[in-house]
Amino acid sequence: MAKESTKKFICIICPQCCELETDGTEVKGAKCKRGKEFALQEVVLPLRVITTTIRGEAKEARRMIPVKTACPLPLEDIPQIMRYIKGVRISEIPALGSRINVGGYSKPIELIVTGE
Amino acid sequence: MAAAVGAAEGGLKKILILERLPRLGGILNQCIHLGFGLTYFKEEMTGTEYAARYKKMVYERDIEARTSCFVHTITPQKEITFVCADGEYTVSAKHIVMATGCRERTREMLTVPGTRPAGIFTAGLAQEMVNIYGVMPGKEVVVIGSGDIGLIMARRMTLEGATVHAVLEILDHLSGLIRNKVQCLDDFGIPLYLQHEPLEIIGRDRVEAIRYRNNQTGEHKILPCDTVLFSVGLIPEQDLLIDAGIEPGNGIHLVGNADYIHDYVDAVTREAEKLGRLLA
Amino acid sequence: MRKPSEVKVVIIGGGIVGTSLAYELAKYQLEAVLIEKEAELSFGVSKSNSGIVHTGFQDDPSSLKAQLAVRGNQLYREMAKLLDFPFIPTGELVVAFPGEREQIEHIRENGERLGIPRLEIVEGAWIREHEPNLSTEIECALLGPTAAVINPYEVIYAMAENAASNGVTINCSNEVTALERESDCWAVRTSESEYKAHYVINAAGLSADTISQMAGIPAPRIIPWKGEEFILDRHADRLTQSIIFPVPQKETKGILVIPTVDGNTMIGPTAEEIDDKDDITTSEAGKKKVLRSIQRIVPCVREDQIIASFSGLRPAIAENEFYIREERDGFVNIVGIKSPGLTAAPAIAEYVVQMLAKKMKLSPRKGYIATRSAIPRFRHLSSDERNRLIREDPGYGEVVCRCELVTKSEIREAIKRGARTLDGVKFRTRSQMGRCHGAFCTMKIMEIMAEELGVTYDQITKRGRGSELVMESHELKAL
Ligand SMILES: Cc1cc2nc3c(=O)[nH]c(=O)nc-3n(C[C@H](O)[C@H](O)[C@H](O)COP(=O)(O)OP(=O)(O)OC[C@H]3O[C@@H](n4cnc5c(N)ncnc54)[C@H](O)[C@@H]3O)c2cc1C
Ligand SMILES: Cc1cc2nc3c(=O)[nH]c(=O)nc-3n(C[C@H](O)[C@H](O)[C@H](O)COP(=O)(O)OP(=O)(O)OC[C@H]3O[C@@H](n4cnc5c(N)ncnc54)[C@H](O)[C@@H]3O)c2cc1C
Ligand code: SF4
Repeated sequence: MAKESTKKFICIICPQCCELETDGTEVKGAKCKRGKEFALQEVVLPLRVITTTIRGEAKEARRMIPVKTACPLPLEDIPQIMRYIKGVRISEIPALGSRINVGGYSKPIELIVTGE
Repeated sequence: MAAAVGAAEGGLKKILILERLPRLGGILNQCIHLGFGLTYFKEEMTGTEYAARYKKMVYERDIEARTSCFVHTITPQKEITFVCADGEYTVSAKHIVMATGCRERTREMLTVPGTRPAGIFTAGLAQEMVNIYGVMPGKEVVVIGSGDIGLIMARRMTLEGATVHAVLEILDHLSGLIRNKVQCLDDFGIPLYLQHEPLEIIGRDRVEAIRYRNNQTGEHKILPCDTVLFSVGLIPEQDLLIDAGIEPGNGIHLVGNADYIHDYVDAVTREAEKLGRLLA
Repeated sequence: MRKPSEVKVVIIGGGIVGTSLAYELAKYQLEAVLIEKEAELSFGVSKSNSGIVHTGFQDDPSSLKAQLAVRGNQLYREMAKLLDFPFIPTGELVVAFPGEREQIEHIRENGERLGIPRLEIVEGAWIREHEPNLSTEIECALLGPTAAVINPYEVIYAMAENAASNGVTINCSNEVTALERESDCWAVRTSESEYKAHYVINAAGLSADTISQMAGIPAPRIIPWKGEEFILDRHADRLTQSIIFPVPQKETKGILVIPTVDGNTMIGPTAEEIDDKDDITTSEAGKKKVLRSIQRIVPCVREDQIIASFSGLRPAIAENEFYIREERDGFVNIVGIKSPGLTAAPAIAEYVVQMLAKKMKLSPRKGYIATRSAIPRFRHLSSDERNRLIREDPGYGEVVCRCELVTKSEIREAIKRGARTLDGVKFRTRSQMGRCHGAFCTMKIMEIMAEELGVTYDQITKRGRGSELVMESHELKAL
């Protein structure tokens, strides 16, 4: 891992927006543990939860169903992952919190329905 | 909703929510992104999840909620007139809580010289198009103003396959939250140009380009695009009061974005619940 | 291509002039077609102007222009009642600063020669009382009580609905591409169809010269004159009671203050000769110019009160006169209809129909319907009327445009009466015109249009082909 130099980020975990600095092992500037974890992960492989919509083709009317990925996924793969998610079509309007699996990516992606 | 829940918790009976849209939740229903509830529920949710959670709280309590009811007049005597598919009704109340949210500023959008083609939208309208209706406002996008909705929409449009060429901000600093710049612009390599002013919208039927000036160097540039999104601030929605010439007070209360613009829904919720309890 | 339809008269151009002709011809037993290249009527010059029904006194009293304007002014009064459109008789004042009194006296004489009633010169005290916002330096003014304001597109839709109910065919999104003289008729070829007509009336506004050339008939060249107008925010509503004019300049009536039908104050227009018939931009320079002129007359107007702007092109010709004549073989040219074209249009139609009457026998249409009623405007109804409407049709209880209180059924009705674009819905219902400028209602209106017209969202346009609003997201190229 690149330990030679330190990297700076703005933490995006919570509204505090701490300015973090890390060399890959130590993290400076974080007001909490989650920020530390974020910084350490960020130098290795930035991960993000994707929020988007999928198309419901229910009879009443076409509707967009908001979803988020169950776990954070690599930022660099987002365009590719979005393509798989956009392919999803469902005929029933799913309940809030239900899960939808999407294939195609190197590992299965799980989506959680975030709206009703 | 939070004001109603607060009031019900406080023991108040006969609470009526009037909402003009077919469902409760307000602007949250089109906020599919994360970033809600961290301080209030200690859990990060999307706007839609936050709305759903509150709807449940409303339905579990003794609160009457009527949707698709448009309030068009209130009077100093605290009479409220609304229309819905059953007719026009007037009700009177001891307290009126105006939680009417905000609307987007469009002044700048309309006085930017040039033509008036299709393809000029507020960021909030674009958000509704993409997230609720599943249609795209365009492919080659320039965002004017660095408000949060603009930043969120820059990412959203990118995810949906559009190219966001730039976010132009006339001020020398970002006007949205820094975390939104990081995760919406930086993550996707979208440039933010500070101190840049839009000068002209070009295009006859559909937007073709935008001309802008770098106010530091004075340099002009023309950037081809088919869509311009404006995110230049929010205005509390107080027109019902203004139209009636009423000041808040005497049982008429403003809360949430209708009172002043909040960055976080958590603060809105807290204030509204507090107000609700106070009224009970 | 379909077999050509045979008709008596083809009118080219669905602006105020062409639509007035359709309305006028509908009174007679004959087959007429109105052809318009834009997606809807009025989308040419006629939708973007000051909306003034002039008295007629600004023009040379011996000109055809002035006479038709005076007659048009009279006709509007009757039409407004029959066709149920707003006609607000605001009256006008031509204000004179010290040294300009003689000029307005001269205008009054002209006006009296034209038979314009009730012209009067009012003095400073009258002005202070009736128009307190005018500059105190104004010495006196010519009052013309017959001036009025209208919404041009509303008039056009009203006339068109009436004409259609009397059997005139109205054909939009249809561009005339060729005109050919055949043995006993004109072949009119369009982008969509072909017609054989005994008479062709060219009311094509900015393109009237091109249309005439298609027929092989020389006509004066159109020189577009651009005018920019600016609308003030609602704090400046009813800034003046009447329309305020400075003493006229050489080519135009000058820069005015206009209390519009909707109550806003509009200031403008500028007047600038240009080459590009498509140039409808507004500019910083135009804004400055209008402000400077207006502040001299109404000193309290401020730049930051301007909330919207638009511009229009006057289809002028070199001579300061309308060019209206039957050229040959039943081809009628109506060219160079710049201001006061809106005012004169009903009279132009009457004049042209009188011309045709000399050539063919016109008998009154059997079962002619003289009236038309407007779309109910929820906002202006009493509570009882609102409840009655909602009982009949619950769609009147669904508010779609929150700023102007426009309901779902009004939008549906507009579509039934011919609206095909968002602008068409806007002009017929006033939705999207409020403070939020459509941010709240655009998608909701598109949803209704998609339902009513059976189209997808990506087919809906702002004002015709090329101005689509959205695209389906799956159309985007794969990432
Ligand atoms: C794009 C965007 C992103 C945001 N991101 C975040 C974030 O990441 N994290 C966070 O914590 N907060 C975020 N916020 C802020 C937060 O969502 C809002 O501050 C909060 O939801 C406002 O709630 P409100 O009840 O005041 O207004 P609204 O949600 O706007 O509710 C007002 C309601 O009143 C109704 N109404 C208005 N007028 C009438 C009438 N005349 N008759 C009947 N009904 C009427 C409206 O239809 C609407 O439903 C974001 C906001 C936006 C717009
Ligand atoms: C800024 C401004 C302010 C004005 N203010 C006033 C005022 O206050 N009062 C007043 O009386 N007048 C006013 N005028 C003048 C008035 O607007 C015009 O005289 C009038 O609108 C001209 O009407 P029209 O029907 O001839 O032209 P248009 O409305 O342009 O109609 C011509 C139509 O023909 C169509 N067309 C063109 N080519 C073809 C083709 N090949 N096939 C089919 N259709 C075709 C066009 O699309 C267009 O719709 C103003 C003008 C301007 C620019
Ligand atoms: S480090 Fe902790 S407190 Fe600071 S922004 Fe990140 S999550 Fe919030």
